[in-house]
This record gives sequence, C-alpha cells and structure tokens, in this order.
Amino acid sequence: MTEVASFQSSVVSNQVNLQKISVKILTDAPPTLNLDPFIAIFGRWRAEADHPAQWRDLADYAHMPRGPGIVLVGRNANFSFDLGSAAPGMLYTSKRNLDGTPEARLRSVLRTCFEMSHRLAAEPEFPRQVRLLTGSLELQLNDRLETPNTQLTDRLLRPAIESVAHDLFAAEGLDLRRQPDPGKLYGFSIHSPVSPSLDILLSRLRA
Amino acid sequence: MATAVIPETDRWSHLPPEVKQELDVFETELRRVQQGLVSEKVFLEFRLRHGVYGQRQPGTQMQRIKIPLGMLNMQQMECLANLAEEYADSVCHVTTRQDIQLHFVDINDTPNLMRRLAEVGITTREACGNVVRNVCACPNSGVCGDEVFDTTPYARAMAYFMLRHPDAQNFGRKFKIAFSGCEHHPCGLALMHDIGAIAQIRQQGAKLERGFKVYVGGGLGPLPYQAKLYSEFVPAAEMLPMAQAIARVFARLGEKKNRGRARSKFLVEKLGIDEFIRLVHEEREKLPFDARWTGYLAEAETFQEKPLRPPSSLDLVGRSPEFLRWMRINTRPQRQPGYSAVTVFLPLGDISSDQMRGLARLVRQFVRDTVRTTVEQNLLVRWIPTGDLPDFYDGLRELELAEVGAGALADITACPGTDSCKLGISSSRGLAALLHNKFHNGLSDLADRQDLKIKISGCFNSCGQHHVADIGFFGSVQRKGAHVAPVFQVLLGGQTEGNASAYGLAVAKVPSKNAPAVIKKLTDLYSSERAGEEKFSDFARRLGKARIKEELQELCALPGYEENPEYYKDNRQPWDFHHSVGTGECAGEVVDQSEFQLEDAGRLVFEATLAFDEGHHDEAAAKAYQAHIKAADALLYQKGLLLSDNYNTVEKFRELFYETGEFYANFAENFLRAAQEGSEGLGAEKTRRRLEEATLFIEMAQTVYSRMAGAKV
Repeated sequence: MTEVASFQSSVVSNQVNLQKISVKILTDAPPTLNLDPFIAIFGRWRAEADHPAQWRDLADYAHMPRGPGIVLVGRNANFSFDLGSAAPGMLYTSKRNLDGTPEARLRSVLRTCFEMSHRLAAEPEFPRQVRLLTGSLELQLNDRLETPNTQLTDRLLRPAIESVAHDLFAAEGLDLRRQPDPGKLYGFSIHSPVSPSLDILLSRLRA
Repeated sequence: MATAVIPETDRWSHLPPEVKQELDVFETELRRVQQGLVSEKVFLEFRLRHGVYGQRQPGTQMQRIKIPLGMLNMQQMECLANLAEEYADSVCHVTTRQDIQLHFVDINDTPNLMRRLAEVGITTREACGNVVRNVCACPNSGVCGDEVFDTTPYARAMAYFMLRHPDAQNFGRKFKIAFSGCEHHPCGLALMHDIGAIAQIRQQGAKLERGFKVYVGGGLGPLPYQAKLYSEFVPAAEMLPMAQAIARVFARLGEKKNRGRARSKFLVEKLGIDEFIRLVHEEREKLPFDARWTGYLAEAETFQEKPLRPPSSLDLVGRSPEFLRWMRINTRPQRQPGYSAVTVFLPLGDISSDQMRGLARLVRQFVRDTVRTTVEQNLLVRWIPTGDLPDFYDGLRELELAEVGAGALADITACPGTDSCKLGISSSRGLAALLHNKFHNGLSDLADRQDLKIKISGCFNSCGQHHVADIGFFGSVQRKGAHVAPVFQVLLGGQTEGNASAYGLAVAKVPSKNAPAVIKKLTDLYSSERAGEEKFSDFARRLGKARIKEELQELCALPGYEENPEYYKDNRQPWDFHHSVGTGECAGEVVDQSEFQLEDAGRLVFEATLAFDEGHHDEAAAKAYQAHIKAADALLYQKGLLLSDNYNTVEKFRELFYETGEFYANFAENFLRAAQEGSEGLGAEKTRRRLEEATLFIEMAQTVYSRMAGAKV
C-alpha cells in the first residue's frame, strides 16, 4: 500500500526514475549446466578496469540449483549466466547511471545486454552446446518502490515497453506477457516464434 | 557530492515514529558523511551499528540483518527475498549467528532497505559494531524433546531489552549472547558466547522456578575461550538486570585500545571469574528498577507456539527411497506427537529470492510463522504435521530445496571468506562449494554421515566456527619461492555437542587444493580405527597429533609453482592466488559514547537549520535545544553518569559543569535559559539565536570533552 502510494506521487510528478532494469536472454542450457567456464570468462572480464559497469568482482553461486549462477558484479550493472526462472540464460541488470526517457533507458539496457551476450557467446570457453533463444526475453523492472507491479505502473510504462518489443520482434510476430503475480517484479516475458541473431536485434534497436 | 536531504516524510509515515526517526537519522548521517560533514571514523562505527559492513570489494557493502533467535515469519521471508532481488544479487545468506546477510549492496540503497525491513518488524540496528549482536537461541526451542523448557520468550526478551540499551553502547568490542534449552545438544553453542544461558528448573518450596545456568566470557576468534561458569542458577527474573550489570562492567572496564584483547573473555580472564562476578553483583545493586526486567515473565511461563494443522502420522509403506532418505536426515519428530521439524538444507547458507518467496508460500500452507534460521546456516520449519511430510517434500522439490544433508557431513558451515570479507585470506566458500560438489560426485558415500561436522573459516578469526568442528579449517598462506599459495590449517577434535564444549587443535597445514583429500583420509581413518561408538573428538585425541600428522603428511606438501601451478590458485578461482588482507570491520572503531552524542548534537543542529530555513521555527528551536541536551549528556557521561540512570540533564549539567566553572559560563547560561524558555513561539529572531547558541555550545562541549578525555589517557 505504501509502495503504491509512493509510486502514485511519482506518477503525478512524472518522475519515475528507471534505473534497475534487467533483461535475460533465455537459452536451451540444461539447469544442471557446468558453470565453471563462466568463472574463467568472468574472471578475465572482471579485470577490465575501464568497463562502464565498473566491475567489482564475481560471485559464485554455482552450488545453488536454479540460483543466480555466476554473477559478474559491477557498481553500475551486473551480468551473469543465471539458472533462475524462466530458464537458464544471460542476465544483464542495470543498477544506475541511466538517463533519458523510460524508452531510451530500456533501449540502452537491451543494447548492452545484447552486446555483452554476443561477446560471452564468442568466448572460447563458452559451452558450444548452449544455444541462445533470442526470441525469448525476460524483462523486469527491479525496483518495487519505483515501479511496483500494479496497473498504474503498467499504464505508465507499457507504451515504452511495447514500442521497444515491437521494434525487436514485429517482423516475426510478438507475444508479450506481463508478470501476473503482484508479489513479483513488474515485468514481461517477450516471445517471438523465431530467434533473430543478436546482430539483427542490435540493428533493430538502432533503427 | 550528494545533496543533504531530510527524507520524504509521507512515504514512510506508517512506520513507528521512533523507528522512522532512527532511519531518517541514518540517512541524514549518510548524506552528511558524503558531504564531508562527519568524520569517517565516527560514521564507520555508526553504519556498522546499523548492520552496514564494508566488503572487500571497494564501494560495496554487506547488509547484515538481525534475526533475533532466527525467528522469521512469512511476510519477513518475502520481504527479504524482495530486498535481495532489488538491492543485492538475489541471494539471502544465512549466517552462523542466525542473521541474514545481503551482499554487494550500494550504501545509497541502505536507508530504504532498512525502512522496508522495518515495515515487517525487522531492524538491522546493532547487527555489527561494538554492541550486543544478534541474540541466538536453539532453533528447536519449544519443539525439542530434550529441552528443560522453551527458552524462546526469555531469549527474545533479552534481545529487545539489550537492543539500543544505553548501557550497551560503549563497549570496546562486540558482545554475543546465546540461549540453549539443554546442556547436551549442539544447537545453542552457549559456551562460546560472552553470555551463554542454559535452561534450568529448580524447586522453590512447592513451586518450580525457571532460570538459567549462566556462563560468561566465552568466545572464538583467533584465541578461543571457553566461557566460565557465572552461576549455576540465575532466576529468569534476574536475567535481564544481570545482563545489564554485565554490560556496565564490560563498558567500564573492558579494553578499549588493544582491539585484539577487547572482547569480554579477556576482561573475565584478567579480573578472574570471582572478581568479575563480584563487580557484576555490585553493579546490579546500583541499577535503577526497570519494569521490563520482569514484565514479560507471566506470558513467558505460558508461551507456546501454535500449529496451523492438526497432528497426523505417516505410513511409510510405498514411499520413495528419495523421500525416506530425506525424511531420515532432514526431519526430526517434535516433542509434540504428530509433528515434525524439517530442516531445509541450504548449501553454503544461500537461498535465492525465488526460493525464499516460494518457500514462504509453501510454508504458509502448513504452519504458522514458525520458521527459524539455524547456526548451521539452514532454515528450520517447525510444526509440520508428520502426515503432511510427503506433500511438503514435494513442494520443496519443486523449489529445489529438498536436498538431503541437513546436519550431516555434507552440511558444511563456512564464513564468506575472500568472497566478500576484507579479512579473508583464502576462499572458505570456494572450499565449501568444492566439497559440496564432491559430496555429490566422488565422496557421495560420505555425504550422509551424521557423526562428523566440517566448519571452514577464511582466516583465523573463526567466523566459520572452525574451533568447534570435528574437522575444522581456517585459511592461511604459504610462500614457496616467488609464489604464494592458499593453504588451510586443519583443526581436529572440536565439539558442538554440550554447547560447544571442546575446541579443536591445529594438526597440520595443507594446500587448499588438498582439503577434499584430507576429508577423505580422515573419514577413512575414523571408519577403520574407531573404537565402538567413539566420537571423532575422542578418536582424534586417542590417535594423537603425531599419528594424525603422519597420516596427513603426503597431503601437506606444497609442490613448486613450476611443478603444479594449480596449487597457487584458490578453489573455484582460476586466477593466480593473490594474498591481500584489508582492515576488517569486525572490530569496528572504538568511538567513545560521548563522541556519538556530540556527533548527534551536530546532526540535530543541522536538522534544526533545515527546519528553520523552511520556516518551521518551533521545530528548529526544539531541535536546537535537543542538541544542547545531547552535548551536555556527552560531557556528563565523562563524569560517569549513564543515561539509564535517568538523571536530569539540565540539573546535573548545572551542578557539575556550570557551578564548578568547568564550562564557559555564557554558553552554559544560554543552555539553562533555553531549558526555562521552552521551544514554542519564540519567533524567527530568537530561534535563529538559539541555533547559533547551540552551535557554540557544541563547540565548547567538544573542547571540554577533548580536555577531559585527554586527561584520562
């Protein structure tokens, strides 16, 4: 109730400050995938001092079934190979430093997620049997104070989300499903019957 | 630099006023330190006292969340899940003292994180720092067949009595309290605490009287001390005043400068237990009566948790082998017929946000709010009707929370180590994760053994409680030529039974990579040479250090880097080991209570100024007057007055500082006049003057404090 009230005041003042946005590209990896290769990969990445995410370290949760997997933790964003719902996949979560309209921020986060996933999939240790299902994305707004999973949030933000999703998948057909459980984060499962390459998705974001 | 703000008032107005105020103060202090208006030293201890602990990784924080007695309700579990998801890395970590920790938190998120916890009745206050930490209790309290009585209400009363207590704010080091319902089981670990209380009943005439056998001065750390017997029986009604008196003695006489000798165990040793007891009794006599000491007792006598569903039994015929194995290892019958307590085994103490939320939903179907965290870093769900165990098991399986191993060899305790702790030397979690993996693959024949415990610390400080394990490890390093390798000291013979009744001794130092082989070697040795039902600690003592060392000899050798560079990487870390230890925050900073009060006075003047600028003159005047009071209290503390003595600040200040000429007369008179004047309707001009007077009063108080503190050195 409090959270809704706080959000309503944000709506009135038109100051929804989207910073915590997560995008996950699902894969066909089994939930029991050996995550050791990601320790090696992220172990190298974490040393990149000039990365905009400002990497801090990696967190190893390989021991947790359906857990966060191996997480490269940064000051501004996290990137992981995540075993949680809805399926194993590459998860990018922005934490700060986004600006512009909500739509611009969503585009920015998707772009970074695609670029980093592209790079991850190209790493020599990346498990070759794992295929990215680029037509299956999970989008979440990771901030219940700012964007509780309510109709009000939906009214305000759905247009931006639909616009971006349409640009990405309208060519192949689009299925956009909002998270129905109000206890969970506001977000969408975005499905398309085909999986365009990450390069194509990136070009569609730029268009 | 962030702009200083007084947080929005509307969003959190439903919080209890004192809690809201406390968290608003925290946010204000955070902004003030970011603007350079507060010293880093004072803020460090201040944030620690709100559970915010700097991680090894620069700019990231661990948020420790106090869970008194480990008691969680479903709403709290859901809140923790949400906060981990939004502010951390979607993992709630259960600690060895029944807290929950979130890692990789941004300090700017902590005020709202704490407010959201406050919405569900949780505080992070005094989760870290030199204060009374989380009060622990046996998670089986109330459902254990062997307990003397349910210690829950007594431990809870202690936790909330000591929380924020003015007599517990000026320690040289942290202070830990634990309750146990019995003498023998390993759940309460009372003997390794500063105060350890074990339930007792005695006959008093025709009545049975509840009380506790009390131990004091125990603690682990680099130098573990067994607690010493304080009293065979302290009546329940005397427990809280006893703790208050102990706190006063510790605050007054405990070491403040040498951080390595500042725990109460050193004070008890230095004074001797008899003198310590005498001083506590003397202090007890001086305490002004507090209704809270006994206010809870009548209810405590009749306290009992209530089940959600009626009791039931279970027919085991036709059940799957997986279920039967899980039931054998992860559940135990309660004292109450027809009910079982289920341990949800959490590898390395970690549970994801999705799992935590799912577990809350599942548990809600079977029990009331009766989940507890355990010192073995698991969750205990009590009051499951035994006949419902198959359904509950199915629900846990869906959440991937039905792993077998609770209380068994595979149930390894580990501190965070180099994953996040500045003091960590080697990767305790890396080793625990490796062993967890091995127990599924390679050492699976050992996983279910319930006669052995493994505990791992990343350094000698013992947060992983390695001293009380059958097989304990603590992290260290070994140099060979130009390279440094992670190694572990192996300790054998510790015991959690009997409330942590024996501490292990180091027998060998082994390369980190060889630790799994050490487990295999020792368990094989135990299996083959154990005499009857001999416990591992007795077995280790019988075999002797020389023999064990000989057995482990081949595993102690560290190959050269050129020969095998893998030995120079820590477990589950593919990069070369780098030995780097920072300054830990476990010890916090010793900040004299007067310094805190003077800092608080400064904050009040700051807030008064903001209120004045917004035209709230009465509020500004009142805050400025409160600033005077805080600064005066800071000086009175130096005269030996304690807030819990309930003295009159104005009168005592007049007597001890104004009339003696110890404080500049003009400034003192301003304060005394303000006390008479009140704070309402002063108008802008007089209010502005009061703000200026408050600023000058605090400046003078700082000077007088420096002089007094300097004279004491």
